[in-house]
Amino acid sequence: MRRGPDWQGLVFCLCVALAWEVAARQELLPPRLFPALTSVLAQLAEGTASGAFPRALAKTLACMGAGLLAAACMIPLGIWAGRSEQVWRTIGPSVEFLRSLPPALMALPAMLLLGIGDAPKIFAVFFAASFPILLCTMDGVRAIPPLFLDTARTLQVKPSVLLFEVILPAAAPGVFSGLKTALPMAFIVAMVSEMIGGADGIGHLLLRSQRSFDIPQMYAIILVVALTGGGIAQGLYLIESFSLRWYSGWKRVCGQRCD
Amino acid sequence: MKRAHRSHAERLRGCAFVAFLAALWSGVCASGVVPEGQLPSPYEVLRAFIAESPRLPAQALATLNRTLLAFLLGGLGGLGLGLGHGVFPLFRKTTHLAIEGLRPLPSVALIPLGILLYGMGNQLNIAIAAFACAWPCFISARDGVRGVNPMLLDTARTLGLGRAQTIRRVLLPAAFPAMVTGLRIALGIAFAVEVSVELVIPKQGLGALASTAALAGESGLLYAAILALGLVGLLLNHLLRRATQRLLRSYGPQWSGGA
Repeated sequence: MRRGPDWQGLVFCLCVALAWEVAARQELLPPRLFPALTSVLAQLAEGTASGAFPRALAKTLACMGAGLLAAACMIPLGIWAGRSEQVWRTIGPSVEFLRSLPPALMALPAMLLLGIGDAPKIFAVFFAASFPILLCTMDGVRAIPPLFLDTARTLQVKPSVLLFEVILPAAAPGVFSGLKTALPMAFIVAMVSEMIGGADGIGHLLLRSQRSFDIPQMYAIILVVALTGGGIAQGLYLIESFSLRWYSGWKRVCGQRCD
Repeated sequence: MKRAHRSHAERLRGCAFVAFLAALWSGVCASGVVPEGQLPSPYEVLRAFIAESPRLPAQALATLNRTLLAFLLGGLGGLGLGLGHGVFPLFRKTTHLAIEGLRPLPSVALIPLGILLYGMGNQLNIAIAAFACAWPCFISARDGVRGVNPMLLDTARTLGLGRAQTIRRVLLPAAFPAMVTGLRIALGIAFAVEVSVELVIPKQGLGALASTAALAGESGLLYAAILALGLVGLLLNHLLRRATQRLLRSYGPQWSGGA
């Protein structure tokens, strides 16, 4: 919708950055807590160049891969539960209970069971990512316009065609809304479990830099994390708008609210 | 929507699945695949839950207290900011970029910064959970205002309503359902983030109880705390659903009926 650079927004950001820099240099704020922005950026450059930040980040993102594993398990289950009311009635109460647990919590029993290391992190991420994907896929399947299914039935398509060429594409908007909730959450949960019992990863590095009072580095890592979070959201958005090109057109044609 | 009416037989099916999972769990414990003390059986969990029951309510209350305070602060802040963005284009243009930069920042990354600013007390938990739960409110309020049917605005102009009147009589009521939906999401986030902070900084609350139990290897207590957290989460969810239905009854089934 917006075209051209966002001048006002940029100017505002620059003003805030400048105010921070001046306030820090003049020591208007406690200098221990608010280092100058330039020193944070210098720290960011140094950490990136030395490979410390990218290594830690790669570790965290690798654990986030468990989120994709969750997608691989939960999309089929979501389709099944969306197609069959019986299935949802069976697993529904269990899912509702597990879903109401704060996801980062699952790192603890996993830690007890699997020891400290990557395994509890992966388990917690898998757990956290599962439910949004499951529920959104299910809702996506339930929201498939009956016209699609009726047409498929009239044409007497094979079950595999029905699944891969009708249900899966038609439920894709739901699947994507699940992924858009699940993957940022997976990132957060990976970081929390690194903070609780991890020995590496960006969350661990972040907490360590605070504990050793390396404040510029702490701010630099917060910047890295913010950029990564933004990158994940943006990447998902791009993938979604690419794979759902048909959907926006279809929505326009039907003049129907499908969000 | 379709799940409104549930017969006993249908409930039974869900309970049977829970019982099946519990039996599976007991089987795993009894078979001795898992070393002693790492995975308590459901029976032991229940026993621990009952044994700890005098201690749990106080901790649950501490968690709930902070969750609700954070929800109040973050919710109001987010709604205010979102309404500001929806109503005042200049405000939106100026701060848009800064906010979009801040929004994907995973709230838990702010824990170290929060420790520096607030120490390890209640304020820290509240500030971080409030930050996290402000964003869904912000988005829903902003989009709710922007998505108001232009015909309503035209009508208001035709009837000669002033700016303040238009905001109060047209924009706010029209954006209300979206705002309530945002608040509902926000409470879940506030709870999850509050518990995450307690896990990382185990001072007080059910999350802290779980975290210290896990580090001490007290598996019974850990699972009792998890059970309590699940129940609190379910309770919050249930209350919220009822409140949403009541608040949005006059807006018709498409808003108030959602599960």
